[in-house]
Amino acid sequence: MISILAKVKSNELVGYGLILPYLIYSLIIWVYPLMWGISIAFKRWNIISTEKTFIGLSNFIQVIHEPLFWIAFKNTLYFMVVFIPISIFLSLSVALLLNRINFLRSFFASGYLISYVSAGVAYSIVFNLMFSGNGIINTWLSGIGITIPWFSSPKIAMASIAIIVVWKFLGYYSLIFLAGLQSIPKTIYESAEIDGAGRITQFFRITIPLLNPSFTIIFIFAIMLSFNVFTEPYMITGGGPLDSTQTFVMQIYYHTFTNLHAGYGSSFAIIVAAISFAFVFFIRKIVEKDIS
Amino acid sequence: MLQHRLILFATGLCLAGCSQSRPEGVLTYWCATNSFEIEFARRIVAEWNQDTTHLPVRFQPVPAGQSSEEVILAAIVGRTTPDIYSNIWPGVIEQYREAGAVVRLDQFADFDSVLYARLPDELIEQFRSPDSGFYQFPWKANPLLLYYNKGLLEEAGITELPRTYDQFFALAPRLVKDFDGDGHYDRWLLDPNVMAEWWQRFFDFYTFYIAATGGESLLDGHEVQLDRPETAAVLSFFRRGYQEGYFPLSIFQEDIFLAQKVVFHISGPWSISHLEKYKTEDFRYGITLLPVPQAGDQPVHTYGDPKNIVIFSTTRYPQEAWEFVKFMTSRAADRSLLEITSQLPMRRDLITDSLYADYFTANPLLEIFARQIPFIVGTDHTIYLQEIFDIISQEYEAACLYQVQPIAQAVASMTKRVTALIDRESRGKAGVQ
Repeated sequence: MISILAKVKSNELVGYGLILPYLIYSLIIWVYPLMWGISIAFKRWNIISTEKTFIGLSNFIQVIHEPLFWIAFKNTLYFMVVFIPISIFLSLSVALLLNRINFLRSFFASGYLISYVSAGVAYSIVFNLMFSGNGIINTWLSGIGITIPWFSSPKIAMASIAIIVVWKFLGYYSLIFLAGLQSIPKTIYESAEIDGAGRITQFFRITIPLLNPSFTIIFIFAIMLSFNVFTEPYMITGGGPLDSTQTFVMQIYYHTFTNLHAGYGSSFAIIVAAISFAFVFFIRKIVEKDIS
Repeated sequence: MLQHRLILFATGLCLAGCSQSRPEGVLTYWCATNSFEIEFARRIVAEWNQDTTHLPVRFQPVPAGQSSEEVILAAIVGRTTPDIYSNIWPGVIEQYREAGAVVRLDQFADFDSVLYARLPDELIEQFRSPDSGFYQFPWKANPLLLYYNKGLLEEAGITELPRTYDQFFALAPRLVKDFDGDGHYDRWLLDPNVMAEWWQRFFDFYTFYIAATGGESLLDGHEVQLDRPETAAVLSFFRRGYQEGYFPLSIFQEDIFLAQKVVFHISGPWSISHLEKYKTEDFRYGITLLPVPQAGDQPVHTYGDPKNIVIFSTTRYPQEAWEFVKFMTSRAADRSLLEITSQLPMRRDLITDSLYADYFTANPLLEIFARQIPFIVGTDHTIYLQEIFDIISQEYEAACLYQVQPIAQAVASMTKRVTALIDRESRGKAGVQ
């Protein structure tokens, strides 16, 4: 040990010393829990018992054969189809507006972040009240003879959840787009204008391509978010109606903490994480472009 | 000199013998977090601690969490459970028992005499675990009954309360209303909760199932009892209610019973104080038994939503903890429970004991619930109870709320799926999970 230390230069020791707190933090906060989680995925364990039985890949096989896993998968895809286009369209629109104003820009940008920092449980309760059968939204709509069963129709419940999540992330995604917009050099627009390019051409030929890093980040965030939706359906619909708002994380939660199948819940989480990573990888391949 | 020594010796003996110092150690007791039960715990603990021969008790409300069950679960895992916990739901007892987390109470010499003296005979076996032991002390219950709006019934000229499903629906044309003419009712007959969470089914399907079957639960030992005409009848009742629009398929932001938008409402005694506090002058209500498929002379049973007391295995003072449990479920303590919390102790003499008579004279609506105590049913003893109710909730939702599967298929499916779980349990292995 002493001989190893002797070979390490003193300035390298300083470097190792500086990263040591982070290494310790990582080991405690995520490496150990991750390894432990992976290890119990191969076991049968009910949390309150000390007995853990090794059962190989059985948990993983059972997850793949569980109908609710595939229902949650379908619901996640539905969520993505609603959430990603709407959130990108709206957040880009907000970013374009913010980019055009100079007065109180920070104030408005911060205002949009209020939803992002709001407590999930609190705003879920508020939305539940607003969208309920005789809530304020349906009261307004009844004026034109419409009543929408926002959370009680299996066909639109997940879309309603997606709308709430759009509201939450609108400000955050707008700021990412705003940062992207502000990093585009004005000279590019000036030279395009000299070349006769109109506003629409500039938007589609300059703004959109040069916002590619922002699009990529938002796509990645949105996909990861779609696989992690929990608070809103848990608080508002409980996974119903007819399992139309069941999500992966709700299933992991129920299996682990309600039904006390911690090993099974862990294997469920590992499979979901793998699918999530695969989606992110795939989307990066499609969306990410070199704009240098 | 010898005389002085004798006096000193005698004084010493007297001091040692006459003064009983408080035993060393402390019992920890967690109670529910609602203010009434906290107040009850405060009073009971204060009375207990006045007697210095007792091991002192320190109480606190169960720590904050998503639910008390989750907090207790975390405490079991961390081995930080209190000595005593009241307000435990019997549905989780089997999990705790299998994990060795709770003390077997019938090991105490006087357990049987205390239990049999307090609990109605009809209820005793409900709380016995499959290994024939008792791991919970039955404490209080909240029977579910049918609240009804007196004014709306009188307005419709209805003088007789419905006893059967047919009678119940026969009232619908006179009670439900479409005020704005949009083709949807704005006043409904009954308002079961439409949420899919497993525990919601205790307050609609399970309550009606118990009433329809004359007081049976889902299991008879390891045998699943769901495949029976009563299950189909209960599901058909709810299906008809939703199909014909008599039950709202919606979640509301207000109490629609209080707002007089629904005529009947399933609830427990806890609703009385809420209704009394918020009711308007024109709101009058009554409480009656649940309707059943076929009326008869037999009493109508219901779900009792019992909450009990356990001693956790982490205790260092099981005997002393048991003494405290007896103290907090004594005749006098039950009077305090009634007064402070308006919750019903599971006592065989609740209606007949003169100690409680004036309370029920002053609270006649609560007496209706108290009379129901011998006819309550709790939960089955299985580690899979939550999963069973998950299954029931899924089938109920599909068959009743959205009518996407026939009743017969729902009964067959829930029977098959619940049987698979019980088979797994009885084989003594938890399958893959």
